Amino acid sequence: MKKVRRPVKLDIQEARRRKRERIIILVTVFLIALMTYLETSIFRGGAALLPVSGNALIFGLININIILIILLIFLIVRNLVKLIYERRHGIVGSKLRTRLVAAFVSLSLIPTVLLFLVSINFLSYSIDNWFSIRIGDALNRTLEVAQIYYQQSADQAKYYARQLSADISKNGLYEGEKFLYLKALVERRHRTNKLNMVEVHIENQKDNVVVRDREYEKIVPKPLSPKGMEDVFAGRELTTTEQVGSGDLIRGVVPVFSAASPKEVIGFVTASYYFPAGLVDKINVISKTSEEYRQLTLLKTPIKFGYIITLFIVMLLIIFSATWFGLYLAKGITVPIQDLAEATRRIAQGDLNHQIDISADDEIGVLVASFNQMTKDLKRSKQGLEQANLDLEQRRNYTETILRNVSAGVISIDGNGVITTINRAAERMLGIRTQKVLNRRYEEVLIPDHRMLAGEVLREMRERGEGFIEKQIDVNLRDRAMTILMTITAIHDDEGKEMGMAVVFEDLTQLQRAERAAAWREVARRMAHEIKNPLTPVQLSAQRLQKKYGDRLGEDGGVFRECTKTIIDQVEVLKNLVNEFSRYARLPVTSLALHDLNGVIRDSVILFQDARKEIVFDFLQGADIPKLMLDPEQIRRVMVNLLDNAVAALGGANGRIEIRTLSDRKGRTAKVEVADNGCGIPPGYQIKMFEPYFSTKRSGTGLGLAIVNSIIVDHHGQVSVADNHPRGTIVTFELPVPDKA
Amino acid sequence: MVRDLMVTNNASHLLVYARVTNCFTKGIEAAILAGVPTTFTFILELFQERSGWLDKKLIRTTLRHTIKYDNVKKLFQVSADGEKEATAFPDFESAKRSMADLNGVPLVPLNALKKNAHYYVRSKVKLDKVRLPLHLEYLFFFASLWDFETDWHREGFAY
Repeated sequence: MKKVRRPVKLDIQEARRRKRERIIILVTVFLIALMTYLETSIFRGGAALLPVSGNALIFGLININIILIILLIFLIVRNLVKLIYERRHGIVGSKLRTRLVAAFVSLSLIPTVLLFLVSINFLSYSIDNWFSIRIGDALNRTLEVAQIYYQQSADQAKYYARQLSADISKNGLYEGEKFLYLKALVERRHRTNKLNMVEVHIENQKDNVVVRDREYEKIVPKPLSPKGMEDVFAGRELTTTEQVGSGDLIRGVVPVFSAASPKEVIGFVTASYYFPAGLVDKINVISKTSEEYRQLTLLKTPIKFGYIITLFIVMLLIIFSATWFGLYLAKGITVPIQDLAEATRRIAQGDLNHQIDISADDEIGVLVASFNQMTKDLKRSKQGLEQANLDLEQRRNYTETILRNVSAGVISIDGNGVITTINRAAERMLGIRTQKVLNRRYEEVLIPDHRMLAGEVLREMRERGEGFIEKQIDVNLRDRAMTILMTITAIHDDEGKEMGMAVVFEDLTQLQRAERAAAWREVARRMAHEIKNPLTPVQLSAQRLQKKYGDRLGEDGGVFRECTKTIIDQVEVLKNLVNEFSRYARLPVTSLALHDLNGVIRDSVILFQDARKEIVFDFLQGADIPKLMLDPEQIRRVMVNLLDNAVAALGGANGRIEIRTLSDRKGRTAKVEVADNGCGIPPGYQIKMFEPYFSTKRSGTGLGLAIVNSIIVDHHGQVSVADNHPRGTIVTFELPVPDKA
Repeated sequence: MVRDLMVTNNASHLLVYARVTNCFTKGIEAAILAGVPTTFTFILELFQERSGWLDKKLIRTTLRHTIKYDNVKKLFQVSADGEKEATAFPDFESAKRSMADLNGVPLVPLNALKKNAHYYVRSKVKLDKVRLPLHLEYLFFFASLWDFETDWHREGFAY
């Protein structure tokens, strides 16, 4: 059994295309996820991962991501457009698919959009909160605290340096011999002012005084920059902040003026505070946070925009995924439905070999399996039905053939009186055409006389209650009279319900005619034998009486002679009559040979044309009449009889007799018609016309047509009589055409 | 744009002086003050002129000036390639001047130049990708807020 899902070529192409599309979408989604992950990783990992081509790579990745999203959008939109197209064209399953997709989109769209809007609002609120004035102010204040701490430390260092410088200048401690005093002063100030480091640099002195905390002994401050030195020796105070070790060193540098010349700088004092790493780190954190905050403030709008874009893409992905899932799910349902619809259509068209090729383990699979099983069962049933029909058809054909070839005419009529079958013999016998009467009620078809006759017969059948009737009836059809043996049988089904009736006709016309002819011949022979013998003595006796007593009776002799003459004449008439009967009874044996029918007929017609010039004899010869097996003498006798009858029927006024010869190739007969426009024959007489001693002529013996019939029967033909239109009679005899002709 | 491109020499090297003007837009200044480290890259190229043929590029040098504002100490730290220590400026103007100026950059040893040959130095300056916190510069690649790049400026000389 072939398994067809749809047109095979299209099916394979479509399946391949769908598979390809599915793979593309899966790969696209996967790539989008991968790209997003990579981009995120790179953002987190920093550019260190991508030293040179970082920008290009990021740019490329983002662009690829955008292309992939566009591709995904294209595929989804393409499917949606296809769905709309299918829906407009009323393709099976499109409505369900639309509904499912709409449901999925709605289900995903509403929460997604809602979430998107809420997220955007929330995000905007959060971002605005991040960059709120309070936070900014707090950060600025914190930074300012750090700045002030630095600044105050520097100012304090400078202040202590200035005090020390003033003491040195005032007391002239810059002189070499007071070095110990200077050192003691510096140490005391270092201690009392809680400085971390104090340095005194005096020009022209070998050693500088440097006092520092023990814990910072390893810290070596950088020398002043040239510009710093320049400033100091120009008499300006300055503060510096520099990174030393892991901490910051805040220095206040103040010049030392000469006591003798107050504007002359002879050295400088440096008072330093050292901020250890822990403190510096904390300040750095403040600084960095503040910096980042400021920078982020600059990027407030782009950040917001970036988040919105990201959320929007996520929203799109969710919606598209839902749409795609809807399409996918709908396809899983509608494709089998489409296949089922297609299969139903194919099966409706009669293709019971169609099977749906879908393997699924769900309810759809069960449905498809049931459908396939149903198709198989249907096919099996159809095959059985076809076989039964075939058998039935064969039987019907056989019955019809029998019916067609049976010599009896058979007509069947159903329960409603509608004619259902007519066989060929009935057609021929009744001179009807099947297509004109078939499927019509018999009452409509019959002429009133026949309808009445049928009614009588049926009534009689019902009265008898035997379910059938056999009756011989004489009927006059349109152009001839027939004797028919009609058998009507009521048909009942197995349950006894009346289904109509079968009418069987047997044409007894010829048979009856032959029987009658034979009977009459026997009568004629007996008559000839029984009557002829006494006639001669009667005649002879009458002649003898006349001869012996005719002259003796005197006056009565006249009466006597008249009477004897009458006896003699009438006996002569009787003799002639008996001779006629004798001839009828002893017709010469017919010797058949091939002869030209027209020639034979022509001879007879010429004979009459010459003798009866007042009558028009019109001989219409058939052109294609073959030679027939006939006895020319006998046929001439037939023609003489027929023409004699026709002439007699004319009554002598405006007479016209047409003689026609015809060939009926189909029926393989040759016809001779003798038509007159005379007085015609009453319908009731037509049956009896061929019986002996039936004559409408006063002088006729009534044997003419009986002889005609006898001769034609000997020629294996038949004679019939019909009315001529508008008046007169047509006598037709048919002769068979030999097979070789 | 690059202005005052001047080529001279000392005893051993060819020296280049240059100054960039209009390079500090308001956006860049705001970014610098917000603590964003900002780097100018100076590109210097020395060509030997050749008649009837493409000029020959003898050397290409890039120098980077980076400015970073220390908001605690209120100092602008300007560092250049090749310098160990950043120079701190308490005021922004000095720092900007330091960023925009090239002062006697030794481009090529004199012995690499041919006598009586014609040369030209061309220069341009571009702003490096601004480093944003959280590496947002990669996310906002499309928002070229502070990008700029000058045209080439050319100065010819004969040796």
